[in-house]
Amino acid sequence: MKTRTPWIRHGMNEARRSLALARRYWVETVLGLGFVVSLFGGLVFAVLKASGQTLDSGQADGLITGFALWMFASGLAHGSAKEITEETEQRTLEQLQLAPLSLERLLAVRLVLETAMGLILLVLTLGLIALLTAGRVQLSLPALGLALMGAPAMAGLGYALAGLSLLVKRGELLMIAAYPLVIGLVSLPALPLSGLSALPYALAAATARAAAGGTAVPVEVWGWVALNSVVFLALGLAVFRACLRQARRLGVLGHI
Amino acid sequence: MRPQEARVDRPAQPLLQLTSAAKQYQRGGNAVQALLDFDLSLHTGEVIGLLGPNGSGKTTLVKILTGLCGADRGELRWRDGPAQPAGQPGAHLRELGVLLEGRGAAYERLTPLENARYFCELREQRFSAEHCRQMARLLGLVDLDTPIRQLSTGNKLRAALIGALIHRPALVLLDEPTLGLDLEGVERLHELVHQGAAEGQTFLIGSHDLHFIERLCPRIICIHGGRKRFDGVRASFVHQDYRYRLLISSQQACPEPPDWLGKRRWQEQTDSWSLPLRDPAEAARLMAEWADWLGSCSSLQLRAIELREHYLEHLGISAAECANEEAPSP
Repeated sequence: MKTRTPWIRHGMNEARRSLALARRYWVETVLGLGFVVSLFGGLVFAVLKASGQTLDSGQADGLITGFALWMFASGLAHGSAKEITEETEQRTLEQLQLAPLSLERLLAVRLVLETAMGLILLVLTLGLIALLTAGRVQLSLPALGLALMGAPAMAGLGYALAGLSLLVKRGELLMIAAYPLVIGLVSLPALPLSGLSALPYALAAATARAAAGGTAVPVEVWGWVALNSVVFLALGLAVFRACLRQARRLGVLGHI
Repeated sequence: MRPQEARVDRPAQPLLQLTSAAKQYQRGGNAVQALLDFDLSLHTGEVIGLLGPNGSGKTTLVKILTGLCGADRGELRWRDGPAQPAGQPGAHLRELGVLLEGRGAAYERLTPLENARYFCELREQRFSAEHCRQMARLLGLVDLDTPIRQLSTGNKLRAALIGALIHRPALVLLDEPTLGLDLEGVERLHELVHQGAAEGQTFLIGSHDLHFIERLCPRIICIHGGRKRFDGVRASFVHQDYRYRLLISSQQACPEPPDWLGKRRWQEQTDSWSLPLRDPAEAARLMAEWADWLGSCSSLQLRAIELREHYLEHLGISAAECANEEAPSP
């Protein structure tokens, strides 16, 4: 009998579930993508119109790249909390709790799959941006690498939100409240290094924006981004575990 | 007070042993004792009925067994493994199948087959489509390829049952499994449990459906106020000293029961008086002796004592108390 490690087994299981849903409800999938693209286009158009500039001026390049990064970061920050909220609504959270794989690891499997999809979208979006800006904003590997290296920090934020969603009845409100927070973190001027750089993902996003504009990234910045990711992922996991313990103690796991 | 224990022949090594489990909740500033000093031993192949009124601690017990709710005290031992704090996730979860509070836990946008496969793989067990179809046939679920959201309430529960049992768990915890099932569904569930038990699965079934429990479970546990009130064989649970009840409404005072009825006395009911009787012969003899007085009563009823009354007796509460039970559930 062929044996598979638990991670691969669970990864395939989650991928099969997601594919079945995406295939059956493909209209929703396409509409979701369409919504994101139109939101992106609409925002760029609105900013250019309001400032009286054109796309060729290069004034909106940073904003455009920031939007692509926000899309990616937002998926990471909201993914786990969204899973918890949906599983609670479907009354399946308790069943997930009975799996040999712990809930935080199961969320990690789902997050990795979603991040892979998010990364594909990010590459496509950055490619589109490079096209729209006539190459001023490049589809640069350093930018992609920084976005990816900073991802664990956002995942940490996501774990913290997911943990709180286990305890509060209206988890979706938490997610709504977190949208401006993520926008803020992505758009902060965290480069050169300052106090703002210590915030989750802020340095990664600022450096990625700079790298997309052709700026060279100092080696130490990569190190700070990595450290930031490790610290905030660990913090997020600690919050998630504390919330899970509290939910179990109160007996409210899976309560709507 | 020690719960009433009746002898049950069991193998020496329990599948699961819960010792001195206790759980207290805080509700609206008040402490609610959901479970107190609760001991439980489950053995391979047993089918156990768990009876108790709302808020008696049934769901808390199931949640502690499944690690969904941490206990304040107590230990849990699975097979011959080490004791671990009750209410924590552990190796035993892999071998558990659970249906909670009568609700079907399934992804409504997936089909029953997709759900079964997902939950089987989630438990790290190899999925067998044939086993899934076999369970569906047994439960009377014809359509395995339609998204669950399009199924009827009963079929949703059937699909959820398949999802909960597809990985062939050693211990199945069913909390209110008959909610939403029609008569045929209940019969088929009955068959599923019988078949599972014959194959060595252990079932702990919590339900308010007394007749379902009485028919299905050779062992019955009664719980009330978080404490065990009865744990024993069905025969002992349903054994009744008195099978009939004489109910009288009368303007006149009731006569003293004759000496041959022993220590039995009239019991006051709402708008009536009742006297328990052992058998038809006793009832006929009493009615013959009291023929004149009975004839003057405004109403008279001789009826069999229901299982429900006996159950309430085990719990030590009256029917009125039961109706007013408002202890919060976790």
